[in-house]
Amino acid sequence: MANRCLTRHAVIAAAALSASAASPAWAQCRLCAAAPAAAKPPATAIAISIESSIDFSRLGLVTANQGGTATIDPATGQRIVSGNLLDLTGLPVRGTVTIRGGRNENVTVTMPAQVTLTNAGGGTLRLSAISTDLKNNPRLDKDGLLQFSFGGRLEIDGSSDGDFRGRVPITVDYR
Amino acid sequence: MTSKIYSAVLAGTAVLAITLGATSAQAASDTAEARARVLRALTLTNNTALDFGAVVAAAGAGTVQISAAGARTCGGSLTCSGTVSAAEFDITGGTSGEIVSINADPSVTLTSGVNSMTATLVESAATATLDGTGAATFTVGGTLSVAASQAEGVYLGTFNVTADYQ
Repeated sequence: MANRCLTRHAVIAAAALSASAASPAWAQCRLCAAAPAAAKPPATAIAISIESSIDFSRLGLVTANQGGTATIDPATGQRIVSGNLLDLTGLPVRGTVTIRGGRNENVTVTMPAQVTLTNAGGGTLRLSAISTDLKNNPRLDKDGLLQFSFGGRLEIDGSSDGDFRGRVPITVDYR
Repeated sequence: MTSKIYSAVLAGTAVLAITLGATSAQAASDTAEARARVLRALTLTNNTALDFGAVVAAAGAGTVQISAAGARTCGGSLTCSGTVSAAEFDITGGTSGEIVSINADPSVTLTSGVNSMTATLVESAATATLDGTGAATFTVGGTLSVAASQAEGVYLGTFNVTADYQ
């Protein structure tokens, strides 16, 4: 018992000493530096999850080296095919992303303007004009959620065919 | 001494909490996949007709079957002769390695003037995988129902076949 009391006194004494010291000594104290940070609640971690990939599905080439474009509207998910391409139906899907974070927080979403899709034979397609259905100054709702969709324009030159895959990196952050 | 150690642990916890708070403010990233299937338009050509050959009708009904491989089975009291064949189709111009679904009409009506017969149809396979040049071949056989005392004549009919990427 006696030993514990003695130790407590020693700790208090040390604290008192620090308090009476000049302010630069406070700045070097890591424990003390925690005080202002603890006063403001820490932000909820922001998280992103991909709900669905963007899939242009099936597009038909009528003549080799004569392609066209296929555009997926981010707001409706509808695919519009133009040029010398056949609309082979299938199931085109827009990309959909959910952001989770702090309630009513403003966020920024960063996506590339274009990416390249490749097939097994090394053929490439360019996915450009990547756009979202986000409003200006996007904000998480009262539950800290925001879901958005994205689309883009696929440019098909008709020089290669097959299954094409690409990756669209998406970054979200508080604003 | 116990108490001093405890304080030290608490201090450590506080520092850790600050570190986590700082991490949570960082951006989050993930990568969505983008997919597309670009397929060359298929051309479907009929090379050989489905031919049931010559059939001599009898007092009773019967069937003549041509398998997808082109082999004939003459049923009932019918008498069959002549050359027979299954219908053969070529798919060309497609995307190599892709799987194509094959569908023929379920049946075809053959007519000769006012008289008719019906044949049910069967494909050699439900699907075909396109080869390195984007081509494949398949056949269609059938089973012809010949009524008792079916009127003589040359009976003809046409049926539709489709090939479509899966």
